Amino acid sequence: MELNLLFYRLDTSLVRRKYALSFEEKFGSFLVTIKLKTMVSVVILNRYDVMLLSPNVLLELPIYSWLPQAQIFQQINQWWQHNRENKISTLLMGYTLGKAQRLTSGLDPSIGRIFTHGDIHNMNEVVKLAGVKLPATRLLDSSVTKEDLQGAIVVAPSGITSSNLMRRFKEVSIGNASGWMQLRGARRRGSTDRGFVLSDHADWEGLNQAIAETGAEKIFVTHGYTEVFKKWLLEKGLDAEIVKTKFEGEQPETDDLSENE
Amino acid sequence: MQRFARLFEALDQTTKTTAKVSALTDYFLEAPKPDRLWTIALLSHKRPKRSVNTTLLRTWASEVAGLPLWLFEESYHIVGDLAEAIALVLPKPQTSSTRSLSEWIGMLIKLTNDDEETKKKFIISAWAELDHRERFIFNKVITGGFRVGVSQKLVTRALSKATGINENMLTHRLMGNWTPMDTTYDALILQPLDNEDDSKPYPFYLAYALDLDFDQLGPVGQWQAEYKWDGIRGQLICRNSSLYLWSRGEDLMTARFPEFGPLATTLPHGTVIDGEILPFKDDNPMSFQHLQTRIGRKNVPKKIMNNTPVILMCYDLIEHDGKDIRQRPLQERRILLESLLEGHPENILRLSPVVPFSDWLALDGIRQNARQLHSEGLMLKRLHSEYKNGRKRGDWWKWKIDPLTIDAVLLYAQQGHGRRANLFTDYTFAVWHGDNLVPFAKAYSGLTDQEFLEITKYVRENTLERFGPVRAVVPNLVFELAFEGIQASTRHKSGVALRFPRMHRWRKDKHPKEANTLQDLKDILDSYG
Repeated sequence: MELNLLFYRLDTSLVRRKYALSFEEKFGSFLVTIKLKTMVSVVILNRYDVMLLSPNVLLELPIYSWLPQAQIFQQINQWWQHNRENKISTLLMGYTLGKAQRLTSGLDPSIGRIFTHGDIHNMNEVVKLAGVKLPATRLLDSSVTKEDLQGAIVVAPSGITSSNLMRRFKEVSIGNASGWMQLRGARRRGSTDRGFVLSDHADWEGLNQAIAETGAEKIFVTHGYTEVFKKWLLEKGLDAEIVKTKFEGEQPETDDLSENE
Repeated sequence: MQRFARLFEALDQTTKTTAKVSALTDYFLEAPKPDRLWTIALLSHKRPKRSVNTTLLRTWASEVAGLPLWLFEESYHIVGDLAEAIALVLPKPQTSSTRSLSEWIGMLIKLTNDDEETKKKFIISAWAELDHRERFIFNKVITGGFRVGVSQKLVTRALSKATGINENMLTHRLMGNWTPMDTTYDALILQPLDNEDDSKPYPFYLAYALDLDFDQLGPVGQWQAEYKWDGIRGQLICRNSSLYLWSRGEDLMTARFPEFGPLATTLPHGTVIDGEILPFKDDNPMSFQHLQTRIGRKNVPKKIMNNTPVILMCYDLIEHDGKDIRQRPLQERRILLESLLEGHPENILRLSPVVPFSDWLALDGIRQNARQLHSEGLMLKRLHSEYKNGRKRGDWWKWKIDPLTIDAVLLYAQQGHGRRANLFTDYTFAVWHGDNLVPFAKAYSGLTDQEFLEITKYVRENTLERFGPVRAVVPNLVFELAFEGIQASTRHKSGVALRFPRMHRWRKDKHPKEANTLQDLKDILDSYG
């Protein structure tokens, strides 16, 4: 199986590569095994889906387990539909690269019009150049009125609620799509109306399964709850070591400080 | 349980008051009556007696989830809520349940006296038939603490919408020590009480902090100054020989302060006094800390009443001879209050003394010494002011003493709970004693979200040691702590206990060596303790 890969480096440059790799559908998303020479986050795009596999997985705790994404999109579309019926605008937030495209693809265009925030519009254009099909969206430029947005959905980068964007709505319901939304505290702290648990990372079960299936005897843990995960692996009879990095990696509360998932 | 879980989710999902009230109202119209009653109880923090302790819950949850206990504990620390952590780690349910909220709670109550094996069997089988949302609710019923951003007021408002009964009457009906075990929805909510209008309080008039210059206040002669006392603001109502004592939070405190009871027969009908409940001994106010032994206590033992006697420091008279006199000017109300209290020499009602002053600067001097009287500062009230509703600018001002401050070094940090889970927001601070840092205060508030984020990042990158959820960090950050009072304490290593410590400023400009010392703290104690 050959896939077109789009690499997202930390310097945000985009690199197209072709890689041969094996994948299978599991837990409603794809489990992909890939050998990488450099530490980069990888966006894997195929005709059907957008997926981001990141080596800096941070959710090494059994509290993280995901529902199939079809269910999450159903929740999102129902919420949008409900808002539309009440003449409320819908604002859906997610990371600009990867998550935003995944969200746009999962929205049901029969409900209403889909607008994108400028950052996401620009990113979508780049992703489209890479040959990915995305549904028709309209840029949220200054010509769009409050009335246009009534019942419509806007996809915007996360953490943007304090900006001028909010003034463009008459009445708006705000949702955030992220793995961090699994925790009630994070949902409430974000002061959004809805939190959708949609992550580009492996969940606990997926992570453990991935390790089992690689047959790795030694696992280097780089980010997140490293001590905990190392201890867990050691107890399972695997060899594990923590690679010290300067950062502990992305954490829920730094969502609005960093765009890198 | 499904219905209540949906309600909880609806309440949790929105920050808008109207949406919360409408979700509650719908629920109160549709749900079975026993469920309504339990919902009111849970949202007012009344819960059944704990039938299973949390240690057992943790053990069973980790067992069912196939996780070592330590890993469950780590997860719990990250989640910051036991009920939620359990709901998250459990495997997906095998079946579903149609039992109602009150049926589940009834089963939990029956469990109280069962042996451990029976309890375990019940809890594990309950988990297996509840979905994620219901499990969270189920666990919360056991552990307590239903915080969902719904005040008693909102519950009452929704009940009022659903039943058509006046909100104030409902507030009164919901007072007291009822539990869903000894009443019914009909008896508690729908049946009128005797004389229920008698208890009705007036809204409190609240002041803003003074932010004007003296010349903006106008002539000194238009103002009355009083001390701002540090107790519990209260409204004492006597009507038809019944006495009611309300707190500012619309909590009926009559039973908590039985010493006011005899006033029911001595005060004239139709008297409402605005004042401050103060711990008071030997003709002097005591510090607020003493009052803490009386707060939250429903029955007050003699010993505590003797150790911490209370009085009502009377500020204002708002109902006189059964007539609402809030529109009359303060100076007239004051005269009526003074003559009322002259006829009542009971020590339990005291007149808040007027502080005489001739110019603002002299008054400022008095304010700065107010701490010596266990007062928080001064109140300025315009002599012609009426008694307004709620917090209003213009006629009444509070003019507090500047807080005491000290520069301290951040020593330990811990993650917060609830909204602040995953953020390091709970800190322990230390001052220097020679080359050692001695911890002396914990503080959680006063910083912006952005600052909390920054410190969280610092904590993560500068952890020296972990003690469970607590992290010792490199002692490099200096904060100016503000606090309202200081007392000697044998329970703390430092020998002092602070009143309401909070972070005033992050002193990024200060080197940790420039922080204050234990001696500095002791000097403050000598001056103000």
